[in-house]
Amino acid sequence: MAEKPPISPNQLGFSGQANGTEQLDELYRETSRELWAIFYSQCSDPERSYDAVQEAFLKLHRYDGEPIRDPRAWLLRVGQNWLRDVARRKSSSTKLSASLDEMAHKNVGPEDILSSVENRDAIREALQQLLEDDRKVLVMKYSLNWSAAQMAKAMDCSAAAIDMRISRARRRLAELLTEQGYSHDE
Amino acid sequence: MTNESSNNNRLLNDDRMDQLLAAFYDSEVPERLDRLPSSWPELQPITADVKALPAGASTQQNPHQAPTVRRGIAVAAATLAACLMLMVFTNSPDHVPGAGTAKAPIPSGSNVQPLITPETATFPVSGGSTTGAVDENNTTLEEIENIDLSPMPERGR
Repeated sequence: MAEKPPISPNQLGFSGQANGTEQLDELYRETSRELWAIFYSQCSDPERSYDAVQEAFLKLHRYDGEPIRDPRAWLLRVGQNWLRDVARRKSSSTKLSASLDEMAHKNVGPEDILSSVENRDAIREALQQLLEDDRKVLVMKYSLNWSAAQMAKAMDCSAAAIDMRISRARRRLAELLTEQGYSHDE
Repeated sequence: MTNESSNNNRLLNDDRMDQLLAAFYDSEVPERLDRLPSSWPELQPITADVKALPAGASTQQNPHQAPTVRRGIAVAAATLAACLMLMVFTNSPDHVPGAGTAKAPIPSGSNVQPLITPETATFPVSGGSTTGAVDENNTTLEEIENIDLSPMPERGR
């Protein structure tokens, strides 16, 4: 992939609001979903992850410093810093699911499980108990639909290692969900 | 060992986990993630609110405009107060006229006479003798060290 040229606010045309916003939109289209997924893999909170994406883009819009060589990396760093600050201020208050227990030994589909807010919270909590790299590969596979090769490049390891990590993460998650009451009973 | 195999039987299989995770991550993505920055209220220029108002509508309703009106009133009040203070200051007995306006030009056609003109400034400004009278009462600018404070004899007696 060809290296992208450095982008500075002036190059983005931030002096002209319309032009600048167009280019910001373009960058947002290219990176927002990926940034959201990475932030999500860190906090397991979809809204907070979105806020981190928005915060990073707002900061880029207001940025008036040296030209930014890699805007994606810049946005990622700003969003991660913001997430860290927020995490310091308030602790996560994900609650355990009681209804997963009710679903135990019932043959229900994913839609049934996810129709309940409590169940989604329970899955988020289970994800939080995984290693961060495990959460990353899961979000890359299931949210971004990346191939093993793409993930291997992003994680700087082999595709076989990625497959192994996905398999292990999925199994660990299944165990955690089973502990919470949900089981496969056919 | 038996417990482990029993536990494995209860675990969700890979297909079910695949379905669950794909559905889960799909449901997690906030809808507003699709909104481009150009539509964010945080990036809207302030003037957009004014433009959005119908013709003839009062801009006082605009929350961005209200502080401007209040600011104008505050500036007017501050200016009035400054003028009043200036008037009081210039009318006070301690005020030396022109003290603060030494470099101000004398307006042409004015009746105000300059205190020193090239004709009256016959004495040296510094140094040298200052024995010459500077007015019709024979006042000189000569410096004396001791001032005699005894009463002077009355003239004409």
